[in-house]
Amino acid sequence: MAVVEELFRFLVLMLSFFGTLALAGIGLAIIFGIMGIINFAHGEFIMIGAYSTSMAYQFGLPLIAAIGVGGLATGVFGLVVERLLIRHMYDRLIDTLVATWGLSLILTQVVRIQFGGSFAGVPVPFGTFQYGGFSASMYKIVLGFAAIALFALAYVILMYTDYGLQARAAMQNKDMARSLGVQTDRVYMLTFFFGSVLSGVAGGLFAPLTVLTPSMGSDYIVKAFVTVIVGGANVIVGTSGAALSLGFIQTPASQIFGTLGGRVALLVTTILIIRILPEGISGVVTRD
Amino acid sequence: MSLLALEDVNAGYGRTPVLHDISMDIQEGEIVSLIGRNGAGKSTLMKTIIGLLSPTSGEISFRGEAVTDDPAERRARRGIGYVPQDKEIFPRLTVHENLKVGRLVNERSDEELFEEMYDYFPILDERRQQRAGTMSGGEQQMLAIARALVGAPDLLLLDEPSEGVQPTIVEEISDAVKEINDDIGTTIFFVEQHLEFTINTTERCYVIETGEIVNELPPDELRDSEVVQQHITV
Repeated sequence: MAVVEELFRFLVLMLSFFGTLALAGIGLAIIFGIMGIINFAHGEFIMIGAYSTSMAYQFGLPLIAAIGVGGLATGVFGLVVERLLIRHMYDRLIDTLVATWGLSLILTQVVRIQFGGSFAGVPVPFGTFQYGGFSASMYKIVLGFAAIALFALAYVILMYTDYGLQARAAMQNKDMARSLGVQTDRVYMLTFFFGSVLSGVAGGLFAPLTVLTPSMGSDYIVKAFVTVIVGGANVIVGTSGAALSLGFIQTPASQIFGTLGGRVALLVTTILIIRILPEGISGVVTRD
Repeated sequence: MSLLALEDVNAGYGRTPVLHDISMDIQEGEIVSLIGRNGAGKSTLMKTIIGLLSPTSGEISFRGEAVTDDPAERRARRGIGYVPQDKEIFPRLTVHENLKVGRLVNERSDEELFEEMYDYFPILDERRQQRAGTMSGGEQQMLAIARALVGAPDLLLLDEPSEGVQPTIVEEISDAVKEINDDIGTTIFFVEQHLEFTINTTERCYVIETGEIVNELPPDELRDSEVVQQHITV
């Protein structure tokens, strides 16, 4: 029985690590993969998602609707950032890096001044479940499935909508897409909105599991970067594959060496993968 | 009425000027070509017409309207189709998706034209679901032409359509170009080093030298080796 129990514990833990990495990374991956822009304020977008989800929840909305509000609020915020900041810096990777890093510092401080050092949390829904001597929060499993659902949604949008086709064309050859009439400016604006919504939804999903503080983003941006770096340029397959393989490594590492050991294992794995596969997992799955 | 007119257009990359006072004029329904040595500014001129490069001075008008300040995407929507050198098909999209990008943005296009492209280039029909990057040079060239045409342009710009294409396929492409001009009435302006291709398809030929239009010839004169020597041979 003990073997089955251990296996079960492993799977649940892995699902929750996968969910956390995949959700942390998806918004960053979409914006980076399609626009070639690294949003250093990505962690703060997650924070905004978590805060606005909590606000909507305190207001009386059920959690799932509150998460929707969190996603939308972050999306609208992202749209403003894109119009005021990002669009002036297309094709200037370093400039956007510095600008979004500055934005991240400003956001953290503004939230600290406005709401103080911590914010009302959201209780963990669904309770716990018991299996033999092993018990876990049901919500962690939900998180894993939520990540799968969001990736499926992003896949469908990118592969089967007109927006998705234009985004993929612009990603492969921007000038050619423009010469065919694709308004890349609009495609990028929508992409930034889309990525921001996903980051906000991720923040909303994280809200019950974490303490809401102005600097909570810094924790998630590390996870996001690790996932996106290992994943490489292929937004859907690369990022989800990276979250899955990193989750697979983080699980035993954190069981044996504790939480810190798990994080160290993440970083070591990332460095090794970049040595072996400079293009990340995308390099294996994408052939031209 | 002239379809495309350039008046004293100057353009270049950054601070390096490439084109000097280019003036030219293309009538509706014509097939016009542009010849010149490597580095004479042929591709630069094409990029300036589609709008990937902005002129530093001068006027470009299309169907009598000034388009000088329009970005490429707006010129494409006005009815200019562009097939760049090196084809630049989207390698990781399927053949069908490549064509769809060409069609998406153009309201004048329709499903019928979409299917017609597969008639002009039957090989593309067989490859509909194949990733475009896995096809041969000639097939990619046909795809690039079809992708531009599916947007129903009034003017088609072709930058060296025979480059990197097997000789047997060159003929097929030059036939298709003539056929398209006959059937749909698309005006065609192309750059070509391949003389046979130029003589066979073209009605009028501009000669460009170090960024300036220096001559305008009837294509027959391209059979004269002295003329060729003077204008094209490196």
